[in-house]
Amino acid sequence: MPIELRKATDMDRRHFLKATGSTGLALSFILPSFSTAARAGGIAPNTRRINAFLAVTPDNDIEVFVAQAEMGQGITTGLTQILAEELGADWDRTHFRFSTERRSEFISPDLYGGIVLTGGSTSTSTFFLPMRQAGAAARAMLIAATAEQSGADVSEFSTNQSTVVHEPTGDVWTFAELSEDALLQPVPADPPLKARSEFTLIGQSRPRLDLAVKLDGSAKYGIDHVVPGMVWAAVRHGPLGRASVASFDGSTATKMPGVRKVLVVPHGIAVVADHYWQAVTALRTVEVVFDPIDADNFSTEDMRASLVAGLAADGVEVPQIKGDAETRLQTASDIIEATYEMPMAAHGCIEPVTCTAFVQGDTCKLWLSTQSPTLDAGYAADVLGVDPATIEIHNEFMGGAFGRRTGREHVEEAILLSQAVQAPVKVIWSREEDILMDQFRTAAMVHGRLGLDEDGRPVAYSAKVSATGFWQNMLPDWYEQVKPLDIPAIGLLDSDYGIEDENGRYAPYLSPPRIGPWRGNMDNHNLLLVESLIDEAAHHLDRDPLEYRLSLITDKRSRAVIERVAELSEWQAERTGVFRGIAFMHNKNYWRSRVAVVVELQEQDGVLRVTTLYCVCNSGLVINPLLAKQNLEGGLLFGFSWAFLEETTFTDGYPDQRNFFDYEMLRIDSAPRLVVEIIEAGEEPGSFGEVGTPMVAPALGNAIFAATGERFRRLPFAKHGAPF
Amino acid sequence: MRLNINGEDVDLEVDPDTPLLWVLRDHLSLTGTKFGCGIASCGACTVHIDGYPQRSCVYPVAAAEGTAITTIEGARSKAEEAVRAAWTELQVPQCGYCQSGQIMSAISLVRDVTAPTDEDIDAAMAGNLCRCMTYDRIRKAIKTAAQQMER
Ligand code: FES
Ligand code: FES
Repeated sequence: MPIELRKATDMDRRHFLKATGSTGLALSFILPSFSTAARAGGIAPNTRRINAFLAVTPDNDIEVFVAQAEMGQGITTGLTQILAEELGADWDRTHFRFSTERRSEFISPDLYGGIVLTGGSTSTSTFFLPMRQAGAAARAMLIAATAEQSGADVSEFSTNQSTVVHEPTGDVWTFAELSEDALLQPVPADPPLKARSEFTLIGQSRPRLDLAVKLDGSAKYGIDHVVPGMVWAAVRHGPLGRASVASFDGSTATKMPGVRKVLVVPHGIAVVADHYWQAVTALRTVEVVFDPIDADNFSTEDMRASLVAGLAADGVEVPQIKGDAETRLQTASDIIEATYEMPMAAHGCIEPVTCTAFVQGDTCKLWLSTQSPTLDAGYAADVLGVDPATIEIHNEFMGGAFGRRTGREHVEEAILLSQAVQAPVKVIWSREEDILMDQFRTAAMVHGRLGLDEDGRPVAYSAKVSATGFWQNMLPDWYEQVKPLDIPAIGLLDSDYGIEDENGRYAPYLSPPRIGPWRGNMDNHNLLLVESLIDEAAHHLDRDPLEYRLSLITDKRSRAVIERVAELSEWQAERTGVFRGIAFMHNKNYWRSRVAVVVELQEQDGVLRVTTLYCVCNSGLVINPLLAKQNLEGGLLFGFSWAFLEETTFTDGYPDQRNFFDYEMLRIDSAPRLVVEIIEAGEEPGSFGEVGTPMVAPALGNAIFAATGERFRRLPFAKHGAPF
Repeated sequence: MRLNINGEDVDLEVDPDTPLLWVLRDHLSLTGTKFGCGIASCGACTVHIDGYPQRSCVYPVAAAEGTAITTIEGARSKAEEAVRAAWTELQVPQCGYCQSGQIMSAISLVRDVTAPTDEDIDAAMAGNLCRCMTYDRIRKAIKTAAQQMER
């Protein structure tokens, strides 16, 4: 027999509002108009916001609010999928939304004391529980509303396909019909979550929700936003992107068509014009003299000398030192000792850095691609001398990020120029300026001594890293709490190889060029050292490098990824002209990931060609295998690109490579084939965004050694002697 | 100056030296065509001029007068359908920023070359950088699209 729903009465509502105070009101507001649409069209009127992360439209579509930034990693799909699972949503009618709101729920509690930031491959693991709770709370409220009105017990209801189902009768109500009354229900503090065995969406390779808009040109990136009345700006910067203008002659430029103003900005000169090309051409005519600054004749050779000096200095202790490695090394049967070197590198996001600002009275709106609205609003507020909460940030798709997308300079320029011309201004850095102004990946020199006992087991390890950390520059408040440690000191020690005595030091290098995060961060250099030394040890002992690793590792999951990559790559198969190298990472710091990479190369007439990258990864629970695989694929080739080709050098305060013809990145014609497999485990998701990257460099170096019998210890390999 | 863009005539006043890219993006708000390098090194700005891929960042708008300009927003053809279907099947894009250019280059490849080999793909696509490194899927998607064209 069908059951009747009694609609909530005004009395119920008054009672509810009295019982819950203002919280009830806050919960049921209609969506703010400044929410921007990720898909065509705005949000339907009378859409009901159930909580920070979700709303139900009158047509029973589910809108999921994703605070984490979409840089290509697919977080808009992944987080939506997690919430939809718990809610019991109809996936085909579930959408994601970007939002300009600043809500406490959007803060990543695990990052730097709590900020809104997409970085460190933490979004999925951080927001897994909050998204589940948001979906589960809404489910409970929808069911409670139905139960209350029908008189049936809550235990008789479930949700499915965006409806509440009364199990005994099969009656269904859409979420849309129920959403108003659901909002009258108390918000459960600890809503019951589904068991893993009940998942029907999590674990499925659902197509990306952001796919269609990326095939027809309609996805809006930071550079794309059009603001009515907007004018355009081009900027030229000085040495190190830091010097300030001493004098300039803009007399020709000011007379050119469309030019509004020629203006000094903190680190350069800007032309604002009605159209971008007018600004670009006018800027070319401006003559500028920059004030001298420290190190404005900086060159890469200066930096290398300083990094070498760092290796000789004491440095500071890194975390996870154990035992007495120095004493143990004195009694070791063998010592494997080497220094590896990695250069600075540019991010090279294909979307250059841009910012559009509109400062009007005491309001400030920004349109840009950013990994951290918190940090960028902070820079903006500092420039304007206002409360960061007043800065409105519009951030939709980012044309790549890789650690680049937050910073003061472009935000400051756009704000100052908008103030000067009293209009919205879009600053676009040319590629040349984007590279000059980059927050580069740190260069690093890493030195290690690995002591082996008489059975060839590594028993003592002493390592030192000479590099620049970005915490000091970019996150000074955080740095105050952890100094003198900075990011290069993390993960230098504590491998899975059972080494009993480990000692590590970090020698900070104060880099004149700006240094920032870069996909893979400290693991790029610290694990380059470990994985190369272990390989050197294996060859020294005449052991197979893969078997040698397995002989040392006891962790079952770690062994499983290595064993599987051995199968996939046919590690044991001897083939003429084919050589392989392996590297393995068990990242316990941020990523909860185990990754094994085999690089396969072919040698012909003394010339090497990389043919295939094999990768097996265990990073916990997988939300969406398609996304996980895409992240690994991208991470692997990104790692290959830098290990093989990428290098930023400086002469006289400027980078020698300023555009893509000389800053070389991997193109399709040199991209090896990929074979990627994921082993799933556990109840908690790890991450995939960066884990593909760090192991390619050591695996490639190890493969080159297998092919040539020579150790190349300076990266990128193709530019420092390896026969490619 | 009169341009024909995606089948429609557009009249505008603009410095004839302006690269077509900025006419599209700035004067006409057709932002699907992307800026990456400005020197024909990345392919993000690829459009079709009379059916052939060109880097609009170095293509003076004056030279495009009297031609048929097609951008990602207006691409409609059998090859375009095959490419977009394959891009969907293979779920190619990550950040997506380079993909307008990749798709415009791929459309002319699968239209003009039956059963493209890896070498054909390298030749046609090496000018299109993808920092998200979606190359493996691009390669597979082009082969899928080419098969679709043969049907
Ligand atoms: S923007 Fe035209 S090729 Fe890069
Ligand atoms: S998908 Fe991001 S640059 Fe190609």
